[in-house]
Amino acid sequence: MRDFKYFNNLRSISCLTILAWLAMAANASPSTPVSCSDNLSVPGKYVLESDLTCDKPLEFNVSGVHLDLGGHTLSCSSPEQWQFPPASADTPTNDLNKWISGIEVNFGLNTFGPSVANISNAEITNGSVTNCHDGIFVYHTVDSKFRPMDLSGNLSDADCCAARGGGVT
Amino acid sequence: MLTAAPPGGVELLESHDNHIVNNEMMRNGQGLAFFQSNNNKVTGNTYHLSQMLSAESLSEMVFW
Repeated sequence: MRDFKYFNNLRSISCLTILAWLAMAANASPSTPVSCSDNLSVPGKYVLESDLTCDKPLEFNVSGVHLDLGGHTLSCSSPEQWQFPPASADTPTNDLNKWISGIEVNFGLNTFGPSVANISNAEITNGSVTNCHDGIFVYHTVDSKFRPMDLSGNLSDADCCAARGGGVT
Repeated sequence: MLTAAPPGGVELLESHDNHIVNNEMMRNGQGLAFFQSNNNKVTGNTYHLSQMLSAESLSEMVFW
């Protein structure tokens, strides 16, 4: 009798363990692959599955986007398309449309200004962003994490500031 | 008037309480640039051949 009770207890524990594992598996939602110029409009997990060279930023404007660069590199095809030469040394000609950041967080020409609401819980991790104006541009964003990434080689001093006629030092 | 926003590894504008940790931000115009952005935790990043721009420069930097 004691053995039977022990067996029943063991079976119950096993069933509970399997149920817990199934519940965890159900909650571990897969990551959605991203492409150049995607606008990630739904909170969730996203992943870069290969190296990409893009001429428009990858962007999102909602809270709760977790972007895993998957150890890959997101490159801009050109750091930016500023109008050269600047109109004058003191008034460099520029245009927000011409900035090309690798990843833009809560930023866009239609969402620019003092009334923009904050987003939160953004996370970008595990990869590289290079050859852009900004690797990552973050606007009206709180309680978010950016780690660990290689964000090197985004518009060098010589490239940017000399061409802009000293507008930025 | 838009005059300039410096390029960089990460640029934050009006963004607060974020964590920027253990990134390499080499050979950028600015490794890390903050504008009107407070209480961000920044640690373990490398900036070789990059400048670091903080909010103290705000008065000299006109973004819009």
